[in-house]
Amino acid sequence: MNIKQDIKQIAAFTARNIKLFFKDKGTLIGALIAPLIIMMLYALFLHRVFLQTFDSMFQGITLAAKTVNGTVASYEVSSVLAVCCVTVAFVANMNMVADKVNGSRADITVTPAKGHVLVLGYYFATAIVTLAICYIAMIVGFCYIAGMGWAMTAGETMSVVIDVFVTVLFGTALSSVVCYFLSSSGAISAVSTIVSSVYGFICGAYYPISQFSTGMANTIMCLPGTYCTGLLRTHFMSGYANLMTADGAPQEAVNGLLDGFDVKLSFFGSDVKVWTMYLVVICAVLVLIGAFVIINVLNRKRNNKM
Amino acid sequence: MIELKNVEKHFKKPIRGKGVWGMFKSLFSRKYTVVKAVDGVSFTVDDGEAVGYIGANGAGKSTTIKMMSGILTPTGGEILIDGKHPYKSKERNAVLKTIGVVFGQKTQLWYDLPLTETYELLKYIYDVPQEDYTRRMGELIELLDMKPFMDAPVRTLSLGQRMRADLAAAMLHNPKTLFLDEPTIGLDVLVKRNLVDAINKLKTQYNTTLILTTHAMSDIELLCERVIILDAGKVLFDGSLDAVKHMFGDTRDIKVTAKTPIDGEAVALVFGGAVTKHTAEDGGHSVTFTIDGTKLSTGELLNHVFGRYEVADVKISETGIEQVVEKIYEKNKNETSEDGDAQGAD
Repeated sequence: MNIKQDIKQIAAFTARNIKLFFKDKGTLIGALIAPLIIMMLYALFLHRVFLQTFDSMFQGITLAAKTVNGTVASYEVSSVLAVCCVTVAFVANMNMVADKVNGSRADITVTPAKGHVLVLGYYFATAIVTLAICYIAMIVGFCYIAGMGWAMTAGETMSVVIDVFVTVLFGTALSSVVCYFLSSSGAISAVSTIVSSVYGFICGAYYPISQFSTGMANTIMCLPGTYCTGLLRTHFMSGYANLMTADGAPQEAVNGLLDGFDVKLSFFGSDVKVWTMYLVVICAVLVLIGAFVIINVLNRKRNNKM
Repeated sequence: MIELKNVEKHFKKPIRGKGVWGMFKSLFSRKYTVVKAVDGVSFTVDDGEAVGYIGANGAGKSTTIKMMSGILTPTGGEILIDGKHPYKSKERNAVLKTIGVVFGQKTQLWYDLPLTETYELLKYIYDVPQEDYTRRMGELIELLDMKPFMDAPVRTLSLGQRMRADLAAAMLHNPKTLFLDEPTIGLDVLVKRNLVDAINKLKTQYNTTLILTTHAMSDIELLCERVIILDAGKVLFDGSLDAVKHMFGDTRDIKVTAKTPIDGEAVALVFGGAVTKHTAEDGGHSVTFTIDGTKLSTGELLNHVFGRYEVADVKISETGIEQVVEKIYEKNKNETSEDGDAQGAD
């Protein structure tokens, strides 16, 4: 096996898929629709709802505006990023389905391009496109939080960068497996719409998991996407706990607020540690990539026997 | 060298029930019928040979091309391209590096990207060294006159431009064998002629083995020296272009127009059975003689007519390959129905 040649081919396929994505302005706008909708929801009413939650939890205590606004802004940005990293990946993976629809995928079979080269070409292109968009969203989010009230340490900021990276890898792997079974543009539009509207709920981005019933919360906690949201929440919002305590808020109230906002995830009554969350997400990524490679190899063999 | 040994390709085709109940039943128990797309095809193609692979729609031409290019695996028999099986995963890539394929009904180029992007990617796929790529691209651009549209997205190209671009993509890695599946389909006469000329030049320049499927017999006559005729998945004829033309005798039509009426019957009697048919038009001023070229030369007939009549015009036409192919199909159809009748009688 000529690894150098394989790497060159994967790079060329990845570049081709990235160019195709950015050529289509519709796809680019489609990729940004889900995060834009969430931002609009926050701007229209959710931001006010969260502020009211603060007031009710810290009755009699006056927290600094920077603390309150910063906490809410961090919650909002972490939610947008948690959803964005997955929904953008689904839209970016449209190339793979489009290649099936227009027959490009079948045409490649008359060239000596290896199966894993194609698969990795799609995976890396989707990951790079999604990373680019999500890091831009993250920078915009950082600016927004800085405007509202910054409390993150340098370590937490770097952790957010890593969280976005692993969440994108997860989103890309998940979308690759799901999109593999789609063979029409209509199907991927339907799936993208469903993912955009449902994923936010089941990963705890639209509504905190702690607010669900225990059974439902434990069920949702079985899904790896939840841990991606948990990582982002933890690193975005932990710094605000210190600010609240410094403002005179009792520790119990601060802990209650953090639990309520999913900064601390619990699974069947046990707190989930940060390293556990990373482990779950990385394992999920590896399992999904493995599944993607296996279904591609099996299908290639099956097609060839037809 | 390409070798096909008793190659078969069978497809399972689902039988759908009629009506709503039938459709519903087929959801749970589906029945299949087996379609023999290719049924025991054997032939050998030597290096540098140009072969026309022709047949009616559904005869199995494209299926054979797909098996030879490794897209499909034969149900039975064996295909060897330079001793390797194109459909076996371990030998596949080695074979694919030595072949190029052009499908006339679809493009292998990336629809939304400029041509150069596709060629760059193909360079990596086929592992073409940069120096060879630059030289070869230059030659192909010049030969196929592609300079004006090299940077245009493929979707903006005309069909003729796209076919040239597809041909260049297939030739980029200097394949030993080129499979052309209906490359001139939908092209106008001029564009078609230019493309056929270009294929001819490429074939001569690089000594490429050519396997061409088409419904345009003129393409076969211009490009191929050998013809394989396929019907219902079986080879009906495999031989030289000359042999296929003369399969039903070396017949020629000679139309003579004279200032005075020609007595066609008298002329035919002079040459006996060598003139198989004569048809008069325009009150006998024009007569078309159909002659058997193996018994009588055109010159002999014309000498006779020139000696007796004041000839104004002469038109000579050989029986075209299209008519011969038609006859082959008709003959095969009759034989098949006779066999069926005989079996029915048994």
